[in-house]
Amino acid sequence: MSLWEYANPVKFLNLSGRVLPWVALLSAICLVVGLIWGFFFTPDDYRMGSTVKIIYIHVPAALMAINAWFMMLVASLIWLIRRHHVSALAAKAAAPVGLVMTLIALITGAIWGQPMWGTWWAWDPRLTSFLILFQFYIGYLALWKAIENPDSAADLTSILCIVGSVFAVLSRYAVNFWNQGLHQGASLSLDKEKNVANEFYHPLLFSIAGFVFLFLVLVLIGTRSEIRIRRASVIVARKIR
Amino acid sequence: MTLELGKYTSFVLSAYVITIVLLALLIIYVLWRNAKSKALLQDAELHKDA
Repeated sequence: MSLWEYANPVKFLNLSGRVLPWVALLSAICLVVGLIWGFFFTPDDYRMGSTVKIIYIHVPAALMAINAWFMMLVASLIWLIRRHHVSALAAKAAAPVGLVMTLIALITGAIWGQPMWGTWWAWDPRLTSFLILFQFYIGYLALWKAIENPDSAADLTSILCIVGSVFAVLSRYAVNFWNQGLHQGASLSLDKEKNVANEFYHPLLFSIAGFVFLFLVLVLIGTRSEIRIRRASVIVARKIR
Repeated sequence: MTLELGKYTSFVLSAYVITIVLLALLIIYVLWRNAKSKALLQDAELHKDA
């Protein structure tokens, strides 16, 4: 059995319909555990005070904002190379989710920045690349809306996605590329010494898992919707002919 | 369970409230589009042979 079988819309609808309730349940459990644990049962940080609690939403949202774009990139490349419609529709379905995750990361970052840095916004490499990524999300969605032919829209949005990936990479690695700006290094690292303290680390992992599963749920539902809308438009077009 | 957010209460609470509102709006939008797509397809299939 090949993975490409699921590029068939009927098979995709069957599989995703079976998987969806379990992923939704996992998402709800991880989000509830991570956010309640983080918000109510973790201590304040000795430097950041209670604002450290913002990391349980800011870090997962920022992580998903970048990874949603990478998921869209992979789906777009599959569309451009193999012309599987489901992959183009999956990329389209991921865009509004990524847009909201980017917005959450920008807003919660600004709210955290005001008491900690003394400013809501700074033209720091990571913040700026995130703002550009946000604009790429808006442009991507606008391009889908603007082009009537769905295959042309998929082609052009896929190219936009490849171009925008530069800023997704910059958003992820800006802190490492330029050793300047206000934004601190990553909160999570493979190097244990660079990680946040364990009291914050474990609830943060739950929260991240919750955001990842939520992203999957919303993209699966969104892709299923796009497949149905596409099928309905094909039926209507045949009838008109 | 006691929660003391100190002088940063408004910052922390507003971050959580805004996040929950944005996520709720996103979920509502995705579910609304899902319901709309089902209705569209049903309607198209119903009138396919008409």
